[in-house]
Amino acid sequence: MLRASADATDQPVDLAAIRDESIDPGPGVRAGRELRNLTDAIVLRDTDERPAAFAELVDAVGPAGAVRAAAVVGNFEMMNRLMDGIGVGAGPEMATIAADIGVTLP
Amino acid sequence: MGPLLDATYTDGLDRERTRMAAPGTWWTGAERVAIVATARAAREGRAVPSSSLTSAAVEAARRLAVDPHVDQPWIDDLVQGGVDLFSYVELLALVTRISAVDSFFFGIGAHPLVLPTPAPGRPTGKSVPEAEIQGALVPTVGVPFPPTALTAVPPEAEALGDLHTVLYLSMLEMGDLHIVKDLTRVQIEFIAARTSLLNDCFY
Repeated sequence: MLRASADATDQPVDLAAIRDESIDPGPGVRAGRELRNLTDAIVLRDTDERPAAFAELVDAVGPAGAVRAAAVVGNFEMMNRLMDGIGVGAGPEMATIAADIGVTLP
Repeated sequence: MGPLLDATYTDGLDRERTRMAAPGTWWTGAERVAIVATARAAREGRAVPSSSLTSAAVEAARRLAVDPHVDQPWIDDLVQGGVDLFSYVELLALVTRISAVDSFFFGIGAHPLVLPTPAPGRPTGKSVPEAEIQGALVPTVGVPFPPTALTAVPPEAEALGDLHTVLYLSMLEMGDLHIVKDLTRVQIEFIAARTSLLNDCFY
């Protein structure tokens, strides 16, 4: 969906930024660094980093945007567990995108 | 204390609390709250609270909270331990939803959702005979993918859809690649992709 939405809105995104924190996702993901920092803090349950990550994201996208970011992380914590919990993984059609991100499908 | 949440969030979270406490299809309200409490404790690295749950149910809630990459042998052990596949689907649904809520609250710096007092009553026991194994570890109505993942227990599929809409997008909104919902669609999907990568989820 990231590639599809980026293409649809003509906003370039470097998919490798999903995996590599040193890579800027590009102009298509405004506040990409801040979004990634909060995402990481939540998923990794980093109590030390979370407050600053949230505050920086508020500065970058406003309070509603920062709350939405946390909500989206929550949603995908749910969806990731759901699909793994029913034993359904990525199909071979995901191989190209996986390569663009720089990961190998299991 | 976290930021004030608008009614879309608070109403949705209230509905989730009510659902959590009510008797489900296969588990009582007390068992449902115990499943959630077990999952939460496991995710936080605490000892799981004592409850009336069987050891198999405790193991399921614990495992799904911390490492949901399960396989057929693990499912087989669960069934041997007395958690049939339909009960497992309901348990999985509860664990996934509390993981969403707890992650959200953690992210905004709010105190965790207070778990509800269980409501009395018996599970409905309403089965879905048309659900069958179709490539997943659990029965589904139709090919298994996110909208059908919980169709063996329809109230849980509906609950998933509700929380999914509150936190992310509705099924209708998902078709709109230009949508702006506090963040642009591209920003939203970037977060989704990063979360999934960190969770080793490649679906």
